[in-house]
Amino acid sequence: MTIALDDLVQADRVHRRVYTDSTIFAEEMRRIFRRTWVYVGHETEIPKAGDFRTASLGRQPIILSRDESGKIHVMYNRCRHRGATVCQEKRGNSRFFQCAYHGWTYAMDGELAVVTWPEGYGAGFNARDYGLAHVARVASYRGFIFVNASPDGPGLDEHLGNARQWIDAFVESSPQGAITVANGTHTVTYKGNWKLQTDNGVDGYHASFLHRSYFKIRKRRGQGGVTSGDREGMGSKIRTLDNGHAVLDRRESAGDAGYRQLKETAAGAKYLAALEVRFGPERARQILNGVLDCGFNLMVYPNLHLVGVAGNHIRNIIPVAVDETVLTFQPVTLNEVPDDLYQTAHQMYVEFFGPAGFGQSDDSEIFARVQEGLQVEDVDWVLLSRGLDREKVDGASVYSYSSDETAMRAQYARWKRYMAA
Amino acid sequence: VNDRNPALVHEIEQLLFHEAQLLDERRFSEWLQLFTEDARYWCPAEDNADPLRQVSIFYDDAARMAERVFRLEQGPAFAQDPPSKTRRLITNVQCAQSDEDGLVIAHSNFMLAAVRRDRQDVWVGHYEHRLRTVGNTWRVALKKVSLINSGAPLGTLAFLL
Repeated sequence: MTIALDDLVQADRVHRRVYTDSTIFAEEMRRIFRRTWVYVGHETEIPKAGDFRTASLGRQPIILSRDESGKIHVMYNRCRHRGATVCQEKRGNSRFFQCAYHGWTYAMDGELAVVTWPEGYGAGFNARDYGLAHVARVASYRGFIFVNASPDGPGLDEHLGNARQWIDAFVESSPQGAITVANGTHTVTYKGNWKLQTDNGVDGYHASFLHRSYFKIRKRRGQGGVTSGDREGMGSKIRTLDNGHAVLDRRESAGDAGYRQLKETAAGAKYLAALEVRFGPERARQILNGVLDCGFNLMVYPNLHLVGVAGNHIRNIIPVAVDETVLTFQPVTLNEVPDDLYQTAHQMYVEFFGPAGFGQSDDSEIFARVQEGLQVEDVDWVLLSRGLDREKVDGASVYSYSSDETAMRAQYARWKRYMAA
Repeated sequence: VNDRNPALVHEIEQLLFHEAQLLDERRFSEWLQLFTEDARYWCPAEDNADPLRQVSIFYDDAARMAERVFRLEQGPAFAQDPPSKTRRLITNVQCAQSDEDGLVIAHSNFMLAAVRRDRQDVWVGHYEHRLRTVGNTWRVALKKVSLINSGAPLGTLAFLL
């Protein structure tokens, strides 16, 4: 089908149908989630041979597994015989996946190992042809596993482009430069389009309003705000990166908040001293600052969000229907950061995020309100014009105050190109 | 499980019913007073998860419980605007008394219906209350809420469980 994209996405606004039209949603699943690099999980979620977890590629069920040799495979969760899913658990460790229907059994690398009563298939049947179907391309960057259902097109490095240096910065809050994803998962559903989360993920405009109860609570405690008092987000920047990616960088306005808070604690001071010996004062300060949060949020379009606010977590955006989305949140362990410092960050995370979080519950609520409001057919446009006449160009990037809708405009420009291709 | 002391079981049941009433009637300040100063109010996301390191749906100490109530009463907590109307049924109460520290552990099942904006959600789970006497009254030192769907995608849980 052809969609008149210029009627949907313009320089400063997006048509409501982009969020409400199920035919557009179906095209997105085809043209974005089956054609570009999509985040599906982290290598440390399946650390040992035989480990697996199930996930989604758009709306398709997939399995991430690690075979005996340690190699990671990403396969469709679909028996090659009659189509049943072969793995029912969210995660685990196994030697094989067996279909419950007729007993076809697959090794952890997807090879078809056992066919019940194979003689019935005749001499021409070759089990090698009927292993679990692998997603066309799998690639990792610093432990983040991406897949691309299309065999053609740019590789992962080209897709990530200059977002890579921000992924580097996210993991380098660990002195080892590595993270572990093994602290459980919040899974949240909201009644709204998946792009309400990609919009929100680069929206430095909303926090002071939507989340003001959280800042009031912090104030009652005598704690500074994460962004409180930062009028218009002028102290922080939104910056577009390649391919619709963007970073909301609060480090300037936050200053050394994490460093200043932690170095006053016994555990923090001890850790800082050890870091200074090993890395020198500047890198030590950077690492300590990143323990409570890295100070920026990176959106890797279309579905990965690395969030460094109230702890550090990985958010995965999973579209379910035009008006239904699932999000997973996984707080990360920064390798080699002392456990008691991790616990401090973890309590900040649990307080704000998840279905009962002081912040996330209001985000989910506003997504549902937007989806409901966009049912109004007599008003066409969602405005994304904020900051259009004050943003600045810096090479291939555009940056502005974090309250500006600069990154959303870049996302929809990229969306338009995906949808036209 | 100790049901040989029916008077104690009755007393604890009445406390659980009273707590349910306070929550359903949105008498949050009175609800807070049922808890000890070192209380924990906990809803794990996974069975046997360590709340200090693993994700919980919430894991509040007394100060954060008071903040949760502050958010509901003064907020603005948009996820509870308008607020959910709730009614909860508490059944299958079983009590055990620990000999050493005088702690009573009460297990119960609950079913909670929540209506907001014409939509009704039903939440089901298990409560574990750890109670001890402070002065002459029972106080809750731990309220652990185990939802049977804690691992499934969840909508907002901005009201009190």
